[in-house]
Amino acid sequence: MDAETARGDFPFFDQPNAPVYLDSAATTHKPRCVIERLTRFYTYENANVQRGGYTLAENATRAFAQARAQLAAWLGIPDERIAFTMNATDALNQAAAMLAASRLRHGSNVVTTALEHHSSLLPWMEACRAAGAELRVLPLDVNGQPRLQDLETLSDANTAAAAVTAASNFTGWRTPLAQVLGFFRSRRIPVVVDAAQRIVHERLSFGELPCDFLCFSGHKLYGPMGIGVMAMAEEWAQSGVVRLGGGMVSEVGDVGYCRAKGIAGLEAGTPPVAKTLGLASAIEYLQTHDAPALWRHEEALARRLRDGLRSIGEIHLVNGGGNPLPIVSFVSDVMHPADMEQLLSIRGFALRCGRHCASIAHRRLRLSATLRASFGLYNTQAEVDALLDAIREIHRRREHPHG
Amino acid sequence: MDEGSLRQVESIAAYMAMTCDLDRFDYATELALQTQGLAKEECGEENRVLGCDSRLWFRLDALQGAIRLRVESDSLLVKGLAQMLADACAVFPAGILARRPLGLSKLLYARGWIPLARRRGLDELEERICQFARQHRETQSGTACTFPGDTPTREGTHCAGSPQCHIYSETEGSNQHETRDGGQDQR
Repeated sequence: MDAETARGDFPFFDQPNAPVYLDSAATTHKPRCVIERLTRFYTYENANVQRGGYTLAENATRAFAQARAQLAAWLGIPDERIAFTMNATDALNQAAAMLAASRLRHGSNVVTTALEHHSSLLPWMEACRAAGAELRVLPLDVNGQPRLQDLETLSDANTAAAAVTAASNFTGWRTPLAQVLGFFRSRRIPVVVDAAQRIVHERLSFGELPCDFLCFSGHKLYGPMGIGVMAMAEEWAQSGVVRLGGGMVSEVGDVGYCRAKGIAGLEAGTPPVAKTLGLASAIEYLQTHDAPALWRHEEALARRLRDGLRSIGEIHLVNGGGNPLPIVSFVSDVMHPADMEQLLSIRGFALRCGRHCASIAHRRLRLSATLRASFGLYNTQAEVDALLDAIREIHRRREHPHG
Repeated sequence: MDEGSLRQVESIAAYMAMTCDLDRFDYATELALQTQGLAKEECGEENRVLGCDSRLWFRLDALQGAIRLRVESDSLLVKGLAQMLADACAVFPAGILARRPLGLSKLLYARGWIPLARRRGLDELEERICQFARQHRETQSGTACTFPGDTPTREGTHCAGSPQCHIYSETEGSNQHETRDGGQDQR
């Protein structure tokens, strides 16, 4: 399937005057099958799950369980090791809370990287503060890539956990997961992996990754907003408790409760049923199409944009390493990214200015903000060329404001 | 502050009169280019507005009952928008500025003219102006201007006519009300 065909599956682009959408790292648009699955559930199948015994509730429960199994199979793990959360941030917070409760002590430390998203970083910042532990941040080299050689000196016998992004949402840099996770596994240090960006551009099998938690959101994966996934090693699925309430207990007494066995113990309250079904539809969509071909298409677009930006001049690209995600962050000498964002928005382009929740990396690279273009499988070469033309025109206009 | 009041500020009125986004952008950035901002040594972390994608610095001074705001930013658009707040500080007296944040960013956001990312920084700046004006008002012994609904913090003259007052001229030991155009009510 080519990109044009794939684009036809996304009703968003059917509307007249749809913007040139280049912010898929923030959220992707949804294919028709996902939208229809949500509508179908709420129209015909709506009932709470794992509670009622009547047919409608049973059918909803069964559909929910099937969706979980589908996601688990896609990740290469048993379905009782996937917990649904509100989003990737929620998943990362829960993973950090479970690890912190179990392992973090006064005087221990947590290792992370300067490329982390705030959602990966802040839970650990707070957990370390509360425990009297130290947060150790792997620095970046001059090219903006984590100094992996410093892992050895940064971690020690008191390292209680590590939090690592699978890929940067700002530079697009892909962490060499086998190397980094292998390092921590060999030292018996549990690791939380933030896969929110990478999992939509590459097949990641949890079963093949030596980590304890793998967290991502649905909405960056062509699924609905409001659902996240926390895939975890078996020991955590059996024992962790973060949120308390209905659905996660097997018994409640006057003064205590008994945690439900398995993954149910991690999902307090009504789960995001429709969103889970929608996410399963998104996975199915990717599975039934040639996802690797679409990923190559996205990468080709990003390369075309990088090459074009280099040719414009007075543009500085943020280095994402040798095999980055289709994410292109850059700054212009001609104007601030916020001003450029506004002018591009006026011209019908949707790309984002800011620090992209990666403040530490921006500070280390001495950047106050960047403009970021990020691709989805529905983007086209014509859109890249149009963006380049718009940036050239903005540069010319700034140099000759009355010309 | 309502839109009519904000339009008393020349630059705000001109900005709001623009009929397309590109003209508004050009106006704000031109305003920034024409504005003498802060010196480099004045742009420190201690006077940077947090919550803004671009960097926005400000200095507030009290001069004979008036509040003077000076701004700088690495974004011309943000500097231009902040300069409109500076212009508002030059028009409205401290007593008015102390009542509540000016509300310009809220108005521009509601019109769809600035995104939330820009609004946050400007909101913060408006809040800082308001806080500064309140502190300034409280330190002006005997000249405090209070308004219906405000809790007087010092013995001061109640400004009963304040809702109709556009230009409030504060002189030592007394409160004088003036309207901008020879007593003509422009509202």
